[in-house]
Amino acid sequence: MLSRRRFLRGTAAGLGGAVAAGSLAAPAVADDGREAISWDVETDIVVIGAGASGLPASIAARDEGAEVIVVEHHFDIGGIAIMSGGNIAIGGGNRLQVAVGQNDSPDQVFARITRPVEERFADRALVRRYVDEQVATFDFLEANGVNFDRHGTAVANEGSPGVTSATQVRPHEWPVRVAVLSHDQGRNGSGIVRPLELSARNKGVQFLLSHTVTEIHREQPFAGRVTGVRVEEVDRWFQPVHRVLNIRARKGIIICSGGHGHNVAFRTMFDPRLTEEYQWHGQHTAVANGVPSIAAIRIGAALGSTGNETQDGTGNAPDKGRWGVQDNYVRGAQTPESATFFRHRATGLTAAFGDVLLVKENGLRFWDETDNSEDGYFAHALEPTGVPGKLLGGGPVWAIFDAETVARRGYGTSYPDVDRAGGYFFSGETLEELAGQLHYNQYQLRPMPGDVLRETVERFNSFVDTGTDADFGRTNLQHKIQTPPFYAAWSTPVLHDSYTGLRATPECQVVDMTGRPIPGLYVAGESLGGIKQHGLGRCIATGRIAGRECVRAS
Amino acid sequence: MSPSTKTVRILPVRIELAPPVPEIVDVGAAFQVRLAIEATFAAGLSGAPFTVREEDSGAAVLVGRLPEVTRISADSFEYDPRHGPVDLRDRAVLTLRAPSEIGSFRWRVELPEYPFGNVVYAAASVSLHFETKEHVLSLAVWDNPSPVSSRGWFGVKVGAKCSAGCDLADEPIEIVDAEGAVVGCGELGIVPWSGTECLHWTMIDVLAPAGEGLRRWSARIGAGFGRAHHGRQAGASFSCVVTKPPECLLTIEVVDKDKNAPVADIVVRSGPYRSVTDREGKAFMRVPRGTFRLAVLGDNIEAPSQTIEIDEDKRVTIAARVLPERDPYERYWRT
Repeated sequence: MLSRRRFLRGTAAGLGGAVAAGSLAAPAVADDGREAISWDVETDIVVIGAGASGLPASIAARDEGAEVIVVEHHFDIGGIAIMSGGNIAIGGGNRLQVAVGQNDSPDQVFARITRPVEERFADRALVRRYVDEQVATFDFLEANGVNFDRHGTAVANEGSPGVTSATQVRPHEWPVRVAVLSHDQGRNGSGIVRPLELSARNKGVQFLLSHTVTEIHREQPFAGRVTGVRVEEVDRWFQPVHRVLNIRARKGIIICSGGHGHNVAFRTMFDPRLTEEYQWHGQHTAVANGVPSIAAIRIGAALGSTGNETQDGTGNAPDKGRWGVQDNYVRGAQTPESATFFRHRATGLTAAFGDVLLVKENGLRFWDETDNSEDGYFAHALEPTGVPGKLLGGGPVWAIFDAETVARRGYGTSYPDVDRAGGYFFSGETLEELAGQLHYNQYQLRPMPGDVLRETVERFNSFVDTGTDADFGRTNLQHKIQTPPFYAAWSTPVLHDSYTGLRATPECQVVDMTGRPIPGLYVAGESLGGIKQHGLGRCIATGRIAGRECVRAS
Repeated sequence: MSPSTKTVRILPVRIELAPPVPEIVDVGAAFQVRLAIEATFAAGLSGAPFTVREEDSGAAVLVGRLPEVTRISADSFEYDPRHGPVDLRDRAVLTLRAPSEIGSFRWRVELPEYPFGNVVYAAASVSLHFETKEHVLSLAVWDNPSPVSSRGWFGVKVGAKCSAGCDLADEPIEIVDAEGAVVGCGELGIVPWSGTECLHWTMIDVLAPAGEGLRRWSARIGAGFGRAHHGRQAGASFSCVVTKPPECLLTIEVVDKDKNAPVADIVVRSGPYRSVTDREGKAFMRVPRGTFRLAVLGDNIEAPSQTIEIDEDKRVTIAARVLPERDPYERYWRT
């Protein structure tokens, strides 16, 4: 990791820019009365975020001859992509598809991700540019060191007639174990971000880690070019340490800071039910707080295709998740040797919905636990339960199970499997005692009545006796929940993917509220609104487009 | 200054109660109080004397010495500043015992002046106000079989837990039927149930009623229970399906129809009867004669249910499809 001092020194000497910390320009008062900015560092392009879109953006910009500084909130590169499965939905007839005999074309990809129902809010001009650049993006990845697994090239689903199926290509996991956050668990995203990091560094891209962008400077409050960014150093808990830099960007700024889902105020603009109890996949690795997007909005940027994010199931993409850990995304397990485990605190338990009952904060069931029709599940999970003053959001969901479940599933009930210290896993010798523990969770706003939980469990057990769930029609009734001790594991839906963000031209240039492009400001990945597709494909491809176009336009 | 005069440095000390602050505690029970201590080198107060007094009378309730004074480490799981400032003050945890009567109490924890090496820690104190309440008993019932035979005996395990952790060994437990009649009784044992600290338990035999269908019973603390300050006795109910006595042995073999291999650890259900397949894919049930709906249950197994007639011992083979683990990403890629 580059230290702040070395970064300042290295930027001055290594890039040959006119750099002297705090001395490029003395603070002065501009014509409009605003205090002139004292630039600490100067470069051509500032890329905000070192994840799936920031890394390709930085390389593409560097390939165009620009000096590039990447500012990253975390103390390492990779964003949430490093925890990704690594499947990239870029097809259109790439080299691997040809090698395995898949017939695909940009037109077919376009048809797949502009379907009249699921993707009806897509910005088709953006999608068209995205699909037209997919083959070139694949080549770009290979040219920058990504080593694809030929056997990982998959047709995920058989498509309906006339529409070919979605295509995924997948790299091998990065071979350096300590540089992978979640190894041997199919988290092959490391095989994308690590080679891109290496390539970027070799090409001269500079990384400023543990810094967050808090402000984007523009010539006029709502007019003129963007001129640079204000960044603040943060500690390993993402907390500001009150050291500030102003970085001048001569040619442009590219926002690649990922989703905004960990920002409750931001995400509830689109879906007011997504109150604070819903956690965000990757929040311990990539903060996804939308702050750079908000900085762009402050200088006039608009949001785009907001309808994409207002659909149950695939809108904000909630997940039923794992159990007993705060960030409980189904594939987000981290083990204690991970560099970010101190923030995760636990690995979590693999969910087995056929072995438990799910109750909300009031101790009542609300759905057939084994029914995976997500839209219905999430709609009911997010329904309020009557907590006084809480009219939005359904509160915590707890998986309730017993000692037999633990034995049957081989669950661990202490560190590092579950997070008792954080209040995401509890046990009790009776159901009343268990219920009495739950208020130690910060999102359990009132005590769960022990008698209600007991009656819920007893009623469920009688359904197991008869084989008929009179309340929710569950047919998979295998085991009673009766043997002490009893357990409650956090099973609240967890969010991931942001499907809206800043509005942009097909060249990924941010536009303002009047529809005019903002000179020098570009956006990519999950910070970009308009493309509703899960995963890495849109991030990598639009990152590459933004990096290239930002330099060319300047 | 004469050679015998010694300058003593007084270190100011401030103590507060750190959350969770006990406001209601079980009468007569031990409870913990966390002291947040602000002092230069507060660790030096480890082992310092303290006194807990009644605020009104000044009578001493407890005299002791502070346990080790510790601090939340930035490497510990308690340290997470993302949800607000972390209280990094030094801590000492005192274990106190509540009075043995119900009421409101105002106590004061006092640390007197404490010399430590070349310094003296100044005196400090903090108020502790709380109420006492009756202990709450709660019960669990487990290992109740279902179905059970009409007019047949079956056993259930019943455990009881006191919120204050009282030893409930030898206390009476009763099972009552839906009409309120006591149909079984026992006394709690000495050794707590496996995996628990103080869930005392017993096994009670119950006679199933005549007739068939779902029946409910309740477990409760027996009438002979006479401990003071133990109120609100929660019960626990349980249910079984009562059936005719079994007459035939039903053997079900579950086979993976793609691999022609036995499928183990699958729950097979035939009406109210449940069994789990062994390593050879076989499950066994003793059932009465009659017509049953036979189904396999599991997250990753698929087989049509079938109706079977049982009039003698019978073997049934179920050809099931074992599904691959569901891809959680599936819904994102569907076309």
